[in-house]
Formats: sequence, C-alpha cells, structure tokens
Amino acid sequence: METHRFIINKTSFDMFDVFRAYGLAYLISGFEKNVVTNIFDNDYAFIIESHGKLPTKLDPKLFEETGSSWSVIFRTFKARKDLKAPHPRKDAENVVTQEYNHLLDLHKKSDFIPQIGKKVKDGRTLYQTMDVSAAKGYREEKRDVYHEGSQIEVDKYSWATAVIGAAWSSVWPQNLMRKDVAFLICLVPNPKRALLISHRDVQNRLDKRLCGISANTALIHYALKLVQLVREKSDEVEYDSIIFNVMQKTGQQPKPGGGGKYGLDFLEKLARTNAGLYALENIDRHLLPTNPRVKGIQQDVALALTDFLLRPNLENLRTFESFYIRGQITKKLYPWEKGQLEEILNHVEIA
Amino acid sequence: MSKLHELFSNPAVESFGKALQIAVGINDDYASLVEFDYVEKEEEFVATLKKFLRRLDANARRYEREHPGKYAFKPNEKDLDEIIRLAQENGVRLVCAAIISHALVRSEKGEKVQ
Repeated sequence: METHRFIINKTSFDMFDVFRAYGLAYLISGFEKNVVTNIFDNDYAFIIESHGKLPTKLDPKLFEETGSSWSVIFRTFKARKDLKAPHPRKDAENVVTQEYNHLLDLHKKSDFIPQIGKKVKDGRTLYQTMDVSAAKGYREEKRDVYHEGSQIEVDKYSWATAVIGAAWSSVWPQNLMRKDVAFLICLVPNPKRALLISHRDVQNRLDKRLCGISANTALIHYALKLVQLVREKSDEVEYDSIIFNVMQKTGQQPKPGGGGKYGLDFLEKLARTNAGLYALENIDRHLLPTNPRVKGIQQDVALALTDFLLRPNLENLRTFESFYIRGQITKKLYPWEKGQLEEILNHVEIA
Repeated sequence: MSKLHELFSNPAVESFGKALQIAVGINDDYASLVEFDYVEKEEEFVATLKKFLRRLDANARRYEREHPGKYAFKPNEKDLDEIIRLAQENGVRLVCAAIISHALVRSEKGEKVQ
C-alpha cells in the first residue's frame, strides 16, 4: 500500500495551523474511505500520513453544506454589490479545484511555510473566524484617531487549506447561535494523533449544545463532552488541547473577543477512572445548563465550576464548594457521590 | 494522591464534615458554614470549631430531648485533637476545604443523618 507524508509547518497561529492540518487531511482523503489518513502533532509541524492511492482530484462533497460550517466561517465577510472578487467560499473552491495536485505537492516539501503579511502576492485575507489572534493581533501603530487596523493576508494555498479545515472541523455550538447570546465561539481540538475517520466520528457524535453562560463555560462544556467521547476511541484519536476563538456580536460584523488553548490534562486524568468519568458525566448533565438565560445559583455554580476546571487549584475549589453548598441548601442541587468528589479532589493543585 | 485527597479520607475530617452536613442541612446553622468558609488563621480556626461544636451540641441536646432513646451525631474528642493537629500540619484553608467537601457529599446508605 502506498504511503505518503505531508507536512504542515506551524506558524504559531494555533487555530490557523490546526485548520490547515485538518484541511489538508480532508483534501487528501475526501469523504471516500479509500485513503486512510492520520494526523500527528510533532510540535514544530503537523504530519499528515496517508495510506492508499492518492486521489487526482478533489472530492466535490467537501463544498457541500450538510454537516459543515460553511455557513458561519465567512460571517465577517461583507458582500458588496460593486465587489469584483468572488465570494471567499467560491474563491477557495477555485483554488483547491484548479490547483489540487500542486497544493498537495507543495505540502510534501518540508520547507513550505505559509507566507503571512500585510501584503502577500496573490494572497487572501485571513478571516478572524479562522484565527482571531492572527487576524487581529498584528496591528500597526495607531495614533490620535480610531483605526481598526488593516487585514492580514496569507498565501492562497495555505488559506484555501485552512478554509477547508475550518469548514469541516470547526465546532460552532448550535444553541449559542441565538440572538440573545452575546458572543460567538469556535472550537477545534488539537490532534496529538488522530485517524481522520475517527475524528469525524467523534465530531458527529458530539452533542453541540453547550453551556452558553459565558465563552468559558462553553469551552469547558465542549471539553467535557469531548474527553468522554474520546475515551472510547483512545487507540485512534488523542487530543491534547482545545483551541478556541471568541467573537463578540455587535450590530454589524462580529468583533474579536479573544482566543487561546485549553489543555485537556486535568479532564483526561479524571476520565481515566470510573468515578472520575461519572463525575464528568454528572457535571455535563446537571451543572452546565445549556440555556443561556439561566440565573441564580445555577449560573453561579456553572461559572465557579468552570473557573475550577480551567485552573484546578484550592482557591477555585473553595469558591465552587461555597456556591455548591448554597445550592444544596436551597434544594436546587443534589449532593455529590463521595467517590466522584474524592476523585476530583485527588487532582487539585495545592500551592 | 494529593494532600487534599489524603485529608478528605482522614476519619477526623470525615467526622467534622458529617457534622457540618447535619449543621447546614438539618439545623440551618449557616453561620458555621460561613465561618469555615472564611477562616484562615489557626487561632480563628480554634474559635470557629468551638462555636461550631457549641451550636451542634445545643441542637443535639434538643434533638435527643424531642426523640427520647435516639442519639445525635457529634465528633468525639479524639477527632477534635486530630483536626487541630491536621490544621497545624497542613494549614487551615486546606483542612476547611476538606471538611466542606464532606458536607457536599450524599449520606451513605443506611447512615442516619442525625
């Protein structure tokens, strides 16, 4: 069986890099099952390894709407009547269709590094939905007047690859698309080692209704769900962190709200024991409500618990306990099973 | 195993945790909860324990008077000595976190809450 290795050199824009990795894997394997594709994170680069005969043209299903995030990844694109350039989705389709083989060949070379800058020859705008820190973090000096800064561009091959990755691997929680939720969040797990078909399976099975009290609660909720699902497929998929992008909704285009990387160590340690896994299930089902309008003690507990899961230290545990016991007193929360709480306490960091 | 987990498994902490669970859940003694929540120094911890045990004792006597033949749960002297020693050794905040954690836990099957 033929084996091919492709390289996605990292740029330090985490989300952009991971989208390129997933994007290239999708470009290679499409949705047919003829090519077995694996993604490995090698610190300095993602390695995409494929087994089987490489296709000579693109799988057109990659541009289908069903099951993808095509409808949201160009949310910040403003269509104007006088605009001559095609819609970025069409543009991406043109690039990967017309230069499919060239694009794959480029990524076989270990020295292919994306060109990123204010002006790149034949470059394309890097949308903030693909990496807030990349798109909006690099700005020129500003003086006196308000100025939002200029867009950043990347070469068309890296851009189109990232677009495919964003369309098929980014997670946009369904219940947070409501008008009364003030933010938009995009999540993607960083593949330490992932068989693409298993990654897709995990993503399809994952319940995408998340706790929308804040962007952090949504992130933690997603992480909990992911860790539980991955446990069943640990031979084929391993994620080490979740990369997230937050945007603030405004009357016009969404504005950047921050982004980062959340390591999954703590949750994975919990998921290794049955008691820990039940604790995660319990938190998932009862302590992180999916209704963003929830108020009172449930909201306080969800926020305190999120802080604790983000940074499992004594200070955050005490805050969480303090709120939780008040929830118990008012009969809004159930007591913990001893073994589950014990397992959580086992991993609290003591300064 | 973390220090907090070790403390959580200590019988004296378990005993005080169960007493706090009764105090909060049955006796509505929220003052003790707040005090355990905010106490930081050893001297304050001793004073908190003193007040907590006094309130618990008063409620226990009332319960025993109203339910002749039944006994209310109270930590014993050995538990008290041990909890003071643990606080001196590990710090008040850690011990209090372990006690409060017990108060969050469901009573075990067949265990009488009062």
